[in-house]
Amino acid sequence: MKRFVIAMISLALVFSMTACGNTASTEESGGTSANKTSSGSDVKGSDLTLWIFLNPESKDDPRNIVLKDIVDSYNANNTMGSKVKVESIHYSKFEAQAIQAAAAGTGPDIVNVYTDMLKQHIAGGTIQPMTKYAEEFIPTIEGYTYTADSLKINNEIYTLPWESRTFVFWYRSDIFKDVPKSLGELSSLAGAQSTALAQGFVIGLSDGSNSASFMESFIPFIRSAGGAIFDDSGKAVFNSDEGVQVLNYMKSLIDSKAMDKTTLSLGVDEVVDAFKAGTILSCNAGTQRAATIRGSELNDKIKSAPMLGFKDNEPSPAVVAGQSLGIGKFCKNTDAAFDFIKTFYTKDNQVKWLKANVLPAVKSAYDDAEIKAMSNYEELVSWNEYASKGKVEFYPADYSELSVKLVQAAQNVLFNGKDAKTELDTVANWYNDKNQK
Amino acid sequence: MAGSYATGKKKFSIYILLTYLVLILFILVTITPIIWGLITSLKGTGEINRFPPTIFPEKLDLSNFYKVIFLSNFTTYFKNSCLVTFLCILASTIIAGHAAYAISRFNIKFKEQMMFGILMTSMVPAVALLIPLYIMGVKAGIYNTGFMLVLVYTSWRTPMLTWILKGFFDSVPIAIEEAAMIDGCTRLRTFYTIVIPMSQPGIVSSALLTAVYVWNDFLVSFTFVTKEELRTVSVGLYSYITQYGVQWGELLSAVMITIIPIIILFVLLQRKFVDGMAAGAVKG
Amino acid sequence: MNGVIKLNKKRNEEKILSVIFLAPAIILILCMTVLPIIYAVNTSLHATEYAQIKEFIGLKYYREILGSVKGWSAIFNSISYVLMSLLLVIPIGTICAVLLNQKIAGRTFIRTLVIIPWVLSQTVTALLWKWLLNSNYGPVSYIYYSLTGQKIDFFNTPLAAKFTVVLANVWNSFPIVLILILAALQSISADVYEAAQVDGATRLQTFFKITLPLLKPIILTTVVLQSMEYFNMVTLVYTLTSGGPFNATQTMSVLAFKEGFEYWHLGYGSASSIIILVLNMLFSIFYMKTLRKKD
Repeated sequence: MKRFVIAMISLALVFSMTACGNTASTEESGGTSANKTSSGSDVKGSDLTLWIFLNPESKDDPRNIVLKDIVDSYNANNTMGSKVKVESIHYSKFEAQAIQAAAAGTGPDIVNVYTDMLKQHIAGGTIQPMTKYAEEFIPTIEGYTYTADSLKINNEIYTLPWESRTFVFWYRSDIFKDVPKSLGELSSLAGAQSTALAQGFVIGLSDGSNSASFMESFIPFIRSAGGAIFDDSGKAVFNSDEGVQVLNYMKSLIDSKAMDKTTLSLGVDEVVDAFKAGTILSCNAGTQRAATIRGSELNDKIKSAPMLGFKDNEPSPAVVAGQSLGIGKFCKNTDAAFDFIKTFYTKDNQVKWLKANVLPAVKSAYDDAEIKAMSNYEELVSWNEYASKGKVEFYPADYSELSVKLVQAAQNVLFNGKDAKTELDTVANWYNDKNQK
Repeated sequence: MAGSYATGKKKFSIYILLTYLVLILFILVTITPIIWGLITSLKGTGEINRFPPTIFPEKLDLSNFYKVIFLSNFTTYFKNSCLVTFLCILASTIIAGHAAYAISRFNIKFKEQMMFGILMTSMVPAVALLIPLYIMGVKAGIYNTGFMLVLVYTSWRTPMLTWILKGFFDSVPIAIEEAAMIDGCTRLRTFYTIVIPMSQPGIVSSALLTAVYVWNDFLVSFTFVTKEELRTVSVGLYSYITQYGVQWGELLSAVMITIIPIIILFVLLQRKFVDGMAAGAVKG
Repeated sequence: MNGVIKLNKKRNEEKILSVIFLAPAIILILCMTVLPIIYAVNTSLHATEYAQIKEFIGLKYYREILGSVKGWSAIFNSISYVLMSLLLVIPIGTICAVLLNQKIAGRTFIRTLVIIPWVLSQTVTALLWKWLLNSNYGPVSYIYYSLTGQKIDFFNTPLAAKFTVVLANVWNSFPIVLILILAALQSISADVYEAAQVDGATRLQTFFKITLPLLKPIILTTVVLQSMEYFNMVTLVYTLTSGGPFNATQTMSVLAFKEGFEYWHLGYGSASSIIILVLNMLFSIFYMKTLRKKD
């Protein structure tokens, strides 16, 4: 009886609590929407929230300082009277946090999206299209790397990249006198340089962090062989001869002793750390890691080159990705949000990013006198040149799952003696079956 | 020192020697990773990644600590963590303490079932609760507030603490309370003026358990709070694991700083803590 | 007559007090744990698309998990992870506690040093061990290399990875076992030991015949608390190995996390979580039964 009474009282309290909760939330949304309708007359700004992986309150990284600078000066100078507040979200959990927020019917006004993850954001309902704004704006950006068409997904533009990164070959100039001509040459040269402690050339095969290290090599390699991951209709076609060729190439790295079994636990972070330590003599890694790599004591002996390909003197086609800005699904004042987004693409701000070792999305940034005076100017230009031959690609929403399946296929081929074709077929069939339904 | 049986004259017996040897081995294992972390945090950027690694830093480099303390918002995170931890200790101990006392002393039906139900609720994996709680939090308008953090932590710790504290109250002799009540003390007064002071060690130990849990938690803090001014240290630590690579020097300096308060708390309370667990857990 | 009224009054007082004392805890647990569990159970019975719940599909996810190698190997990995950890944590904690229970110089200092790993979070524990043991730049690997001319391998075979994860977990969690057992030891009256000494029992005899039986209840409590903790553990394993190599360290909770928050199969993830809950309950019921029998 007592227990029953207690249970009833508790239930009553639960309901009253949720009821309170509801009124509170309607009040709140009432308040904000009032704020927003008044701003409808396209001169008024709003309080905007920006979700981004950088943290402007932390001054230990030049990139954070640039962001703070841009946001502060926008808040001080914008004509709409908007105020942007940055909320820093850890990069590894960014999508989870945004999708979760969207499920609860909330989220930031402006979202920073890594282009690889864009389709996941769209599917998870975290952003809204901004085609109208973007189509009008893109032609006005001086020297913008992207055309409106190249950014369209289902005829809509969701985000504008403000950064572009590409994936290049990093090597030790004291070990490799010249850049190897092709992947084949790399395998034998690197194999000859491997010792009990050092590995000549490593592709990390850990299944952690979206198996980034593996995918960053697999995609350019398969293109270099003449294949592709997906066809135009989005069907998985990596189980082609070219895909088999790439996996067999990776296997040959084991046979030539260029890399050993420890690659199974190496993600891209560990590969870079080992490269900095000098126990990996060459690797593929993104240009965004340059500052970290250059922090090594071996910096003088570290060089970069376009990612090698299967044919002599013909690099793998560049894979380009980048950070981009879009408007949050639940943003009410899209005018104000886009007005802020625009500041990222001014030449001044793009120059600031470049100085902080972030490759800009606006080519004219390279013309800046201060940039030309930078000690690594030549390298920056070479990356830009290499990147300009590639194009940004948007991977499907289930890319995370696919890439883990792919790296596991590679692990099986390299270390469990499985056949490359069978393994790739399994993954491709799984993927195509799943997406046909 | 009840229970210490190395009494008597054989002070330097072989047993004591063996004891020290084994304990030193234990200490080596427990502190090596931490010492290695401390050494790394005192190295300069280049030296951190050097291989073979240097055992002692060539030059003591405090720049990592400087960056963590002065260039980031770590002091804010630190304050937030202290505040949230303190409030959670307070709330969970009070709430679980009362519940535990009621189950321990009052004549309630289905006690056993209730205790098992309570234990069961602490068995649910946290990952299953995050999204429902997130949606509830947003609907109730308490998402992105410190209150939400305290609420989640407190309610997740309450079952476990109720269990431990119930065991503890069970071991407090009931005769003293009965005597007090015959003297005209109300039940309420008996609880506050007699039982609580007598149970101090148990309360201290459960407080410490809560402290370690809340201080170290990443999942809840990351999920329910995105505002910079509400961030806690465990989330702050993650800012050194960047998409450009792990910044080992700063990360490990930050780790060294964050473990200090809990170690101090432990050293201060360990005497009582150990006693508290004794009475509470044995009967539990 | 007066006494009966008094007694009644006391009963009423107790009734009211029990409601007041229990209500906050029960309301909190209902709102913040039970309600979300119901929601999670509901999710596990529906098709999901990202965080949205679609049509009802009954036990499809449970059948999928329990009908696949992936599911069973995750359950097996969970159980083996929990058992291996317990098998190490309990003896180590007990030995350490017994040693620290002696009157030796520097006891408090040693106790503090031994207990330090407990104050570190799972993330930090995982990162510290990764930093220490990495075969390509870790100091342990280098020392091993200087002695043998080979690199040491902690993460790259299924068996090695399983042990490394258990090792890191034991390192992080044995202090709590130590504290619980030490506390219990201190509550054992010294008379018991003196009697044993008079009877001329050796130390080993004393330990196995007297100490261990007295410790049984606390050891069982520890076992249930820790196995709960280990079954639900995500961060440590995920940060160290992400479940690899070849899924050797993919426990049920790591699977639940990956499926739920990386691949966004929320229904599947929730179903995995519910299976963990059931595993936990089975273990606890087993524990309760064992405890009651001994009493």
